[in-house]
Amino acid sequence: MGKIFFFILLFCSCFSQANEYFINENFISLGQNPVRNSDPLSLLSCGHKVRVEELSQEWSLIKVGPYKGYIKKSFLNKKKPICFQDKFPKFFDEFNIKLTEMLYWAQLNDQYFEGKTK
Amino acid sequence: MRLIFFITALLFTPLFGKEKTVDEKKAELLDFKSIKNILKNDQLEKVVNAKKKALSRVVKKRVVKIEKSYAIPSEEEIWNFLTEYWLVLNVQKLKWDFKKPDYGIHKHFESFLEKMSFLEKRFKILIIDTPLITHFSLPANKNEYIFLLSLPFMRTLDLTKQEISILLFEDFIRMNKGYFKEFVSLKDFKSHLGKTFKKGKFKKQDFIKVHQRYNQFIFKKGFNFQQQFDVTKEVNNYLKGHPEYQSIYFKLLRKINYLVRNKKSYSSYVNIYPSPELQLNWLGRGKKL
Repeated sequence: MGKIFFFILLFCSCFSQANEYFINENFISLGQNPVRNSDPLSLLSCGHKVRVEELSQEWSLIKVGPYKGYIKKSFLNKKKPICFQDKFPKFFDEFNIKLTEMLYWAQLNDQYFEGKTK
Repeated sequence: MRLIFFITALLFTPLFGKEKTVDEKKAELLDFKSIKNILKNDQLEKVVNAKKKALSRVVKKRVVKIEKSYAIPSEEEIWNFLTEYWLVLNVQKLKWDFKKPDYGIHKHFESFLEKMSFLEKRFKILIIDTPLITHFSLPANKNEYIFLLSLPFMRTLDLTKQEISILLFEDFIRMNKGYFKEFVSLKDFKSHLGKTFKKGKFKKQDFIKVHQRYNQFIFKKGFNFQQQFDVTKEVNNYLKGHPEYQSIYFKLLRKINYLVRNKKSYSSYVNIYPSPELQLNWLGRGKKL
């Protein structure tokens, strides 16, 4: 019985880690709907751990803290990325980026049309 | 008699012999030298040395970590940050923050770049709602590009996706030639890249000046005739292998030439990209105006 309980626990922990992803852009808006420029629910920064509830071709439904919303799938990494703010923390701090600038930065990432050649 | 004297001397010698002082007795107690050999044999000295070495290693690591946190990005890592921050600071002027549909431009440009054999390139296209900047490529990190494209410009010229792709390709070639980066990278700025700075001694002004150079180049200075000539020739060389694209390029230049001659709001286009008419002449297409 104890062994069965142990394996169930192990399976649950592996499953929960399988749904955990990291944000890979400086600043991202968590949107209410799976469309560009959706009304923002929260601001996420690079390296932030999120739980993915649904993963489609372009959008992902994620849960972070008390919020559930949508971000583009391309903003998610399975492994924690090397974020600019983490690699150059003091340099980044020197620019004293305001909250409004962070919000615009998040919106900027939403506005891009991205491409990548093979 | 002698025997009595001898026994008495034996008995009383401690009383009359040299007695140790209190200090001497204390020194005897504190004399580690006397037990040093015992400690050495217990290997305590080795343990102390090993602990000292481990501590110095930890301290060194901490110092290195603190120094690293004061690192300035290198030439390969700085541009994305600088460009995106410039875009954020100029959101009101550039008017990029508006709802727009997916025009499919990025997909078309992606396959166009692959046809021109440019592989493993990432790009981001930002559509702006102003004629202030018609089109421009901004620096990003290695093998990455950020393109600005004016919606009013596209609509006025009624550009097709192929024409837009070729226009972006021209900007792509311009960025590869490094004209913009060379102009905005002042000496002081370049000297900081890839180094560390000391606490309280960061020269932010040297980085702000780069943004000022961005403004100067994008809104006033633009490219010179030699740069335009080199870019035009190079684009044409790439398109020679695809005659259908080459004819679209000539048509595009003619459209832009007509626009700058006839629409006042676009007359300053030639300050940044001199000049569509000359480009057509260089390509031997000057007569068809």
